[in-house]
This record gives sequence, structure tokens and C-alpha cells, in this order.
Amino acid sequence: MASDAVPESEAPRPEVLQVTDWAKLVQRIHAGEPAAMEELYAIFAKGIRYFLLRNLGPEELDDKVHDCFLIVTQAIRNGELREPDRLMGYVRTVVKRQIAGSIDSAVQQRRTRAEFDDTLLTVSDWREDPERTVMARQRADIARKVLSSVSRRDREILNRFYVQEQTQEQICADMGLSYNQFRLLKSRAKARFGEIGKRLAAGVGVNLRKPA
Amino acid sequence: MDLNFHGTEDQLEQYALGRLAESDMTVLEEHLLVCAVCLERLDQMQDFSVGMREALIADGVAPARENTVQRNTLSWWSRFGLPEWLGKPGFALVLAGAAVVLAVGLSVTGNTNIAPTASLQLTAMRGTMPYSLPAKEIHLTLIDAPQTGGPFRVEVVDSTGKSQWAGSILATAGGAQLDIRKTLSQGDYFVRLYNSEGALVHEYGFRVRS
Repeated sequence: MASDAVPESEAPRPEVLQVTDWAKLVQRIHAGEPAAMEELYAIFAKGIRYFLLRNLGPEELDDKVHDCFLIVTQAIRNGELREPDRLMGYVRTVVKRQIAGSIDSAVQQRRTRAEFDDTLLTVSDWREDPERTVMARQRADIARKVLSSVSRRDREILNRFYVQEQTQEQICADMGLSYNQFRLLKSRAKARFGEIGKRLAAGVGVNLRKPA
Repeated sequence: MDLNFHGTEDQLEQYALGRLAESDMTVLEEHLLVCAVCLERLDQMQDFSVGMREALIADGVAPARENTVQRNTLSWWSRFGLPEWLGKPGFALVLAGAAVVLAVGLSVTGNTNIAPTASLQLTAMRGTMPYSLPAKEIHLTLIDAPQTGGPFRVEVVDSTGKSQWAGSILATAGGAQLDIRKTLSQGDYFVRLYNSEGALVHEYGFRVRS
């Protein structure tokens, strides 16, 4: 690591979000305004979908997203939302409860089914998703390619952070690094990772199996 | 809350690795619910950080095995005070044959070679199941387990729901850890984490296969 200079921007700067007046939106939903419902959906649908997918997988995803909206809108219409300004927090709580509930019901289902027949059923909802498996393999291959291009010392730094879960303060102290050097190493590795990933996505030949 | 609180790269990375403090997590998750750009950033961060961790773990295992093999080959004869010519091709062939007979004998009597320990890092995300070779003891790290509170009750069940291991663990900053000191046969297993009120907090899956 020759330089202390950290790239100005490691990722595209997120845009400025339109600040929503949550209390007003809640009031409009409470009054049964269809446009307000659409607005609520437009604001939260992607995020809710993301968290459900991340925690529960793709099975019945649309139904689960719909259930979350039903709970939120029912609560608003029934006047149960005590702090309309905290709508985001309420939506998060609903999503978390839905996730916990789905996991709980999957567990119960496994228990019940197992009582019927211990041998014939494989009652796992952790089914292998071929697409995810391929993506995970590809991700690991790209990371290996990145690792093959860094020095042994840099690899040790990455290993301490990602595998041994040491804090950056501890790593910097042990390895005699400045905070910027540490960040630079990670951002370079991340940039290389993104670059190889993009080339792969664009169909440009990348030999993932052999080191550079 | 400021709607335009976009998580920093460090925060997103800590979140992706399941290491973000509970206090920061609430704010970040609320923001992620409404910010598509940060979801995209999180996806990229997740791919990178999880990919690096997997590759580093895989990378760390292979050289260690190579070193062991090499060290044993170089020092075996002298360690037991035996002449080096025992390592010559003719004798090596005889010894290799004897080793095959011994291995067959062991497998017939059921004394298969099982690794002493294996370790896995688990996240509660659905999708691919991490797997381990059969081992006498499995060390599990539940990466996204709560970092505070506890103790938590843990139960490990097989795919039929039959309990294989139970115990309690404490939350730590690097994820909760448990050691299963028994040989699990090949198959799918689920680790269930319950809080002090008996509510299920997380469920994790892993597989044992040869």
C-alpha cells in the first residue's frame, strides 16, 4: 500500500430523498384516500420485498408483501398507529414480526409433519435454489480472483477483518496501518471485485479458475 | 428520523456481515425500507464482503492441508529413526498396498476416518445451506445472532424435527458460538435460537455431507 489517498467516492452518492410528511400520509390513508394507499405502496414496496426475500426466500413472496401492507393499512384505518410520525418504525416492526411469524410457522410445520412420518418426508424449507447456488459460487470465484492479486500481507489484513472479525482499530494497531491505508486496501479490493463482476455480467471472458 | 440518513460504507458492511450494533441497526433498517439506492449498495456490499469471507475461509483451509502433507512426508522416516531407503519407490508401493488393506479393513469394521473438528458460520438468511464434512465436533458461529442480551436457548434438530443437541449460549459481538460435541450423521440440520421468553428468534440451516 504505497499511498494513503482514499478514493473520494467508493460508491455512487445516494440521491436526496423526497421527505414525506408521514403524519399527513397516515391521515390520508385513515380517510380512505386511494392515492395515499398507492403512495404508501410506492414508498415501501421495494424495501419490504427486499427484507422478506433476504430473510425468508422467494417462496410466496408477493403474498407476504401483501400481508404486510394489509396489516399496516388496517392499523392506520383502525386508528391504532399512535405516533404517525413514526410510520417507518411501525412498518419495520410489522416486517420483522412477519419474518419471525413465518419462521415460527415453518418450524411448527416441520414438527407436525415429522410426527406423521419420520422417514418419507424431507421437510426443509431451506431448499437449494439453483440460481442462488450459482451466484454464490460465482461470488466466491470472483473473490478468489481478487485475493490472488493482493500481497500476502494485504491478504492477512483482509483475513483478520472478514474471517477473524477483528475490529479495524485492532488490525491497524497490530499491523502498523493508518485508518486510511486500511480503508484503501478494502476499497481497492472492492473495486476489483466490482470490475470483475461487471466484466462477467457483460459476458467478457474472465477466467475465474486460474489466478492472474 | 432524517430520511436522508444514508448509511456509510462501513455501516452497510457491518450490517451485511451481521456485526452492526443494535442501536445503529434500527436507524439503518428504517432507511433501507425507503431507499432503493441504499438497497442496491447493500446488495453490492453483501456480495463483496460475504464473497471475501467465503474465499478467505476456503483459501485458509487448502494451504494448511498442503503444509501438513508436506511436513509429514519430509520428516516421517527420520522421526522414527528409520532408514531413508524405506521411502524408495519399491518399498513405497508395498507400504501403499498395506495402507489400502488397512483402510478397507477399517471401513469394514466401521472405523471410518472422521475429522476431529469442523466449523461453520451460519446466517439466518434462506437460500444455500452451508455444509460441513462429518466431524466429531462441530463449531458453529451464528453470525447474525443478537449481539446483546441472553442467555439464549439453542436447539439443533435434524430434518425430521428430532432434537440432536440443546444448550444455551451468550451473545457476543462477533456472533453467538456453540460447540456440538457429537458426530452428526449426514443430512440437514436446523439450529433454533430462542430468547429468554421462549420465543424463536432465528433459525439457521446447515448440512453434513461427505
